[in-house]
Amino acid sequence: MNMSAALSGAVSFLTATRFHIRDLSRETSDVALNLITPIFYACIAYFLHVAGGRQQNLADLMIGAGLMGMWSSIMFGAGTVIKAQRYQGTLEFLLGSPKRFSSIIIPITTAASVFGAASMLLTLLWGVVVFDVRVDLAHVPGMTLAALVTTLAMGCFGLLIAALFVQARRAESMASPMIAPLWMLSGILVPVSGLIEPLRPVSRVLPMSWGAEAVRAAATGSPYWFGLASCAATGVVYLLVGSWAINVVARRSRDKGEVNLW
Amino acid sequence: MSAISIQNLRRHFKAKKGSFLHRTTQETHALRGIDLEIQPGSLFGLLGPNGAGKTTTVRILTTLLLPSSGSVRIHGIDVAADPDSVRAHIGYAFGGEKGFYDRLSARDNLLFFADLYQLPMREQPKRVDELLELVNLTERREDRVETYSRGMKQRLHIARSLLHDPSVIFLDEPTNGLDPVAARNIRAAVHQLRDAGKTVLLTTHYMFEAEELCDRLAVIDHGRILVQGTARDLAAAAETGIVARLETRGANASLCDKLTRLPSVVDASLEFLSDRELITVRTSLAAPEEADAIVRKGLESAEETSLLHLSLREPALEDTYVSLVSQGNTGAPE
Amino acid sequence: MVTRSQPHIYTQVISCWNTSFLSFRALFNWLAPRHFVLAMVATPIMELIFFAFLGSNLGVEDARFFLLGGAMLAACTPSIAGGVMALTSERHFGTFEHILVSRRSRSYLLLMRAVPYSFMGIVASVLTLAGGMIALRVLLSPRHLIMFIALLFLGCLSSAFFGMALGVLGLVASNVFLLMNVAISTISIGAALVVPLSVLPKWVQVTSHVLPVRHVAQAVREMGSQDFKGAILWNAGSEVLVAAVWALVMLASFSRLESRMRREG
Repeated sequence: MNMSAALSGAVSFLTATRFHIRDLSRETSDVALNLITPIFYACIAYFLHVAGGRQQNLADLMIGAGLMGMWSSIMFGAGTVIKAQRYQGTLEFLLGSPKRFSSIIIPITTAASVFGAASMLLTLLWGVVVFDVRVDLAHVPGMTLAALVTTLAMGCFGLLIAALFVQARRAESMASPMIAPLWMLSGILVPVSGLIEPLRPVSRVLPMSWGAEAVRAAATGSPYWFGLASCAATGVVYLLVGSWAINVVARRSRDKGEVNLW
Repeated sequence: MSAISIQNLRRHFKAKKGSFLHRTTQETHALRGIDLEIQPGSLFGLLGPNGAGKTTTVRILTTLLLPSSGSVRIHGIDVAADPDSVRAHIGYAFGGEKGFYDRLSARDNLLFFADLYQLPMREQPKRVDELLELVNLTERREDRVETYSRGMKQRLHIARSLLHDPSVIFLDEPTNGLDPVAARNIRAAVHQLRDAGKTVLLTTHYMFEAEELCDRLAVIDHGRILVQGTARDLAAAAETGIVARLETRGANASLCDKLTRLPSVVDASLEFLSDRELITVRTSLAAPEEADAIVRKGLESAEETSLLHLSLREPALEDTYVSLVSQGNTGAPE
Repeated sequence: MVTRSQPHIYTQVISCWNTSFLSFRALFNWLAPRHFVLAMVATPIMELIFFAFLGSNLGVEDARFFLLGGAMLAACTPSIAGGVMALTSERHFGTFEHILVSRRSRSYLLLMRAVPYSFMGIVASVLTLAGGMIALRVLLSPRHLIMFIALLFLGCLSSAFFGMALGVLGLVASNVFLLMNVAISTISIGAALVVPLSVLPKWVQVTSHVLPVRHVAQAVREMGSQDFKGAILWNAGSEVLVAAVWALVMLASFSRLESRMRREG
């Protein structure tokens, strides 16, 4: 792949992601729900923190609460992306376009992930304003970079979710019970070290686990490059696996003539 | 006493428009003084284009909407003051895909509404089965309504409208969107209602249907009744005469305008086909040879247009309707 | 010929129940067992495990606190969501006008609808409780279990009426599901289901008295304490009052909406 093709691909990806962010924003109530729910998680985390004698870093809890929102955005947003396109009547046009199907879907899952990043920012601001959380401004660029890489990596993870849920008749019902276990496994409110031993390796295959570690480390000014690189690496793996999976599903639906059944 | 009596019925709506900083209120006059008297046991048709005020009239008659002013009575009962008493006498079928609980069977749906219409519990199953038999849905009565075709749903709408054996029934475009066979079945059912002595108010924009079914008709447009009476009365009022049908090549909209401006021409409409155009010219002339002459005269100046075929016929209700609506008022605000 | 006579009160109640149950079957979105278990049982079980895990890591309360709180939260969702749908889905199916044209009183049409949704709340809660007891290795005695279910019915009833009051709003507003989710999240905190009541700000403790399940949660937390009888009477009575208030709010706002719709279209 040469430089100009790579650049063209990046521009195409960014344009499409921006388009889907606007598309997903058209329902104000959906946007509000995505942003407000993590604030409730933040309040729960805060009150439990107070009840437990304020033993943990409050900034970590606020970041974690925001990342809880990102999981919801990805699981529901990416899990239902194919169904949503079918309802809108656009799926056949996407499938019939010259671009690979995975290249068309990944901006949608990334857009869902962006909403998760927005909820993380809003939750942190809530913590600053309401719960008197202190964030050192010098650490903000590092936190921003870590959040950005996490967002992109989770967008790639969303590609695999979209492929796995495509045949689920009620994808929302399937996604719903998976979210709380993912909160635990990804160590967003309680560090991975708090999990039982057999579950820790599972945690390491999730981009969010590394991303959460990187954002928390950046927030305290600690080294975060390892977490960042691991998050990016797992994101790339999910990009490859997810692309393969979604393209297989697309090809199979054409073979079976099931495009309108997605 | 009339079954339905409407006097000077008016209804306006207020809608807020604009953004938060610059809000305006727009008033729409949906009905501008309707007068109608419908006799018991008759089938009355209300015709009009979309937005004419048909549905607003029916919603007021079915007590779902209050009039802004005027008097509306059903069997002498004021619909605004005493809606509960009116509801005991009326049934309605609004048609369309919606209006039932898709997940329930037809029988369960009707049992539910039977209770809403206060049928005694012991009578409900018998009445429901009778009506399903009447509309030929007995075999499918335990199937979920979501599996029904549009025609079947429409029959179920009619069955529901009869649950409490009302004396007055409102049918709002009951054959809209149905295939010809399904529509014919519905019209047969409507005939049966009239034969059973019910008073039926039917809204439609299918002229042949109105002509076939209705004893009397009214044409409504922009919230006003333009004319009411039998089909013949409407034709006389519209002064519709011979209708000319022209097949041409090279015709365009300006030719239509020119034809409309001719004396004794009420309306001219143009339809483009793949290899020709169809022009329908409605005149007020009774004599076919006069209509022929005036149309040919109109074509004389159109050198680029060649006439392939010209036929003449007597006016149908559709022609009357088109003439009336084209001649009707502009709907200027009061 | 259709006869109309004044039926016996017993017949009216049966008739009302039949109609309300038909309405429930028509409008409740999670009737299929698989979807119900996934959305209304598995999800709350996972959430209560998560909050117990979080709580233990933050040094807060014991597993029994989160088990009971999670089970009560599990009761709220189907009751409130069902209550909302009992009204908003009439619009979706195009049957709302037929409800309006019915001569039945609005109490007859609406009050009994809360009952089936309350039962679904209890079913969801009991299954969540069973799953939570296994996962967290906390056992409730049979006596406490029966008390829990009895109290929970009151909480589910007030949740359902609360949901129906939101549903009336949903007949005119487009964002009722946002409100519903915010309401459930508010109840999880305000009714002290997943956080101890003592750490909530005073103004939250006071204003949360109007929330469904708030008083049932208080009574449930007192199970096994010395003054349990007093607590149960006081809190059960308060929950009944909350249920009655929300039922009245729902009926009053429905009547008001109906008048407005007849006037304004």
